[in-house]
Amino acid sequence: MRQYQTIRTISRLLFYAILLFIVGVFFFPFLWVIYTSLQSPITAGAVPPDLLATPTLDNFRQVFEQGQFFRCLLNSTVVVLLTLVANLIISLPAAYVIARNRQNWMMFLVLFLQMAPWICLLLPWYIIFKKLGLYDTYFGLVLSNLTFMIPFTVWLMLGFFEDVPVEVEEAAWLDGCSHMGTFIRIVVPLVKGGIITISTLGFMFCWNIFLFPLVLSGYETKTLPVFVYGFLADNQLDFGPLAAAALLAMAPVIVFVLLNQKYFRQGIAFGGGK
Amino acid sequence: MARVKIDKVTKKFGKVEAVKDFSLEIQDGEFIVLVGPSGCGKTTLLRMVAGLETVTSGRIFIEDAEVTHVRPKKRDIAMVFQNYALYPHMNVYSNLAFALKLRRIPKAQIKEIVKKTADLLGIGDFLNRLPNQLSGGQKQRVALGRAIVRQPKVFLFDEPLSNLDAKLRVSMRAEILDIHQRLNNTSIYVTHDQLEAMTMGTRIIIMKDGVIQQNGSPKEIYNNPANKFVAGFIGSPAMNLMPFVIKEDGGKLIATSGDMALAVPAEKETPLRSYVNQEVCLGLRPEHISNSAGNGGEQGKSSFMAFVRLVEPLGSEQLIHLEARNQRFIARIDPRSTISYGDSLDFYADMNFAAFFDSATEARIV
Repeated sequence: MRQYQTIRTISRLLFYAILLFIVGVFFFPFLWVIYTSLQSPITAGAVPPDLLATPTLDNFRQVFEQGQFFRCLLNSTVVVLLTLVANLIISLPAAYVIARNRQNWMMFLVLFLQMAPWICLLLPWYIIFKKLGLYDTYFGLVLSNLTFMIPFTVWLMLGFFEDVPVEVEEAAWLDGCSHMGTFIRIVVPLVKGGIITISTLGFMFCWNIFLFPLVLSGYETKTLPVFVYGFLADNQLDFGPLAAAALLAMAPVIVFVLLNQKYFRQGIAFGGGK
Repeated sequence: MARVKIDKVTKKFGKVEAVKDFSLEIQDGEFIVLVGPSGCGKTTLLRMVAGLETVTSGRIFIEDAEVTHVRPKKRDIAMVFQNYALYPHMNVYSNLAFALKLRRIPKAQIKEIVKKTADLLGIGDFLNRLPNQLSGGQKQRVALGRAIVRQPKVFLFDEPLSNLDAKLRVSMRAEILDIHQRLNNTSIYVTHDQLEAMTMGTRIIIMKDGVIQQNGSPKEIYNNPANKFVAGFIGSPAMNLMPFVIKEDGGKLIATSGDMALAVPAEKETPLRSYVNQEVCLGLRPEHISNSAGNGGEQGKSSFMAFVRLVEPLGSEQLIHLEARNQRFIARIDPRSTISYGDSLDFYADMNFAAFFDSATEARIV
């Protein structure tokens, strides 16, 4: 009995050690960014790192003094919020209709759109957006985000909508509710978990997207990831301000995910199960 | 309350005809039961009346107004679903009030109606609970309440008790009937349980393969089944159905199987005359086979020797599984009789209650 308990304790310790290692591997870069953002220019890129160096907020001051941070923060916020709202308005009814009228070709189309390599769209879009006057506009950036978000949202939400019993909708119709009313009052509240999941994932994706805003945005609509990239100068690499800018750019996403983590976990597990 | 008329309604799913040329008139305040085996089209028919399924051909009327292509919300019909179909994100109060809110009824009036209905159904204490916090019986009562609050023209029930345990089913059956008697609402009740059909309906419609087999009162259907299917479907245990050959013996008709001979009563002879020397299906209910001749040996009782294969004591009666000349049937006898497995005894069939069915068409001869 004692031997069994010893083996059990050792197994458990080993398990947690491995878990800590894995978490450490994923968490380390983030910790490094925090460390670097609080270092002076001398200690920021030092090898080996000076862990006892006095932290400084100069890097953050430099980021704010650069002038564009708040403008870019606003741009990112506007683009992300518009994308999330537009995505839900377009994708939820689409996913609902596909779920209720399940046809193999619809599913194939949704999957196909996700499999397409997005980078192929970059240059054609640049040309098209320029000609249509969508370059350096919120609308253009939202449109580019929606191209990725809509198929993903439809695919993820299918399982949620399929789990809403049809009888519940039929009961609502018999109670006097229209189809649209039933969708809004009955169906959507029942897929709340999925909506929060997709909003969280969408927020993370749209907030962090870099390549398309780099090409499709200009001075007016520059987003935070593009702003952070600006700290990678041609002949100089300022690790401190770069890390500070990156940390400031990451912060809203981290807060958002932490606030919605319960739904996020449920939604991922649910969507994965489907 | 309203009359419902279903006029030659057919429903096809691709090539499959789920309901074939179905016609029925339901009077105001009637409680009619549609009963039949799974896949017979009863639920499809109910859903067509509700507007949840389209009609391939035919017409449906509610109170003389045609509703064949009218949307469900405009038909003023309430339905109680098999799996309750309560709104999971709303509490009991909101479930009951939902339809009233859609009609923009004032809040105070909604509160009054909901409270009255909740008290009627005994769910007044659960108004703040969500559906997943309720038992099966409570959920069914909420589903019933949701139908009642609307005061619709017609109530539809789609096997509402099939998810409940046997004891709860009995009490809910009584509750539904009690509410029907109080509200006198026109109701169409669908079930696959023949016992439910017999105890609940003022009129029963038995369906098979989308077609009406018989339409009548429970007593009529039980005592005079129109065909072999109805005879075998209604009654528990079902009617014994056995192949016999009609023979003539000195001017009288007898039903024979091997050396077993049962005398055909005089009043049943005429229709059977054209079946002499032909096989027919003889139907006898278990309660019309006994192990005693009765007082003074009643006319119409034919005796035969049978072997007891199984005895099922049920407390209030005994079911005896018998075998005679390769014919197997069940008798319902007095619980005090001491019969056991392996006995070979004389049994008596009361031929006054015998039903004869054509072997080919399965229609009742007499």
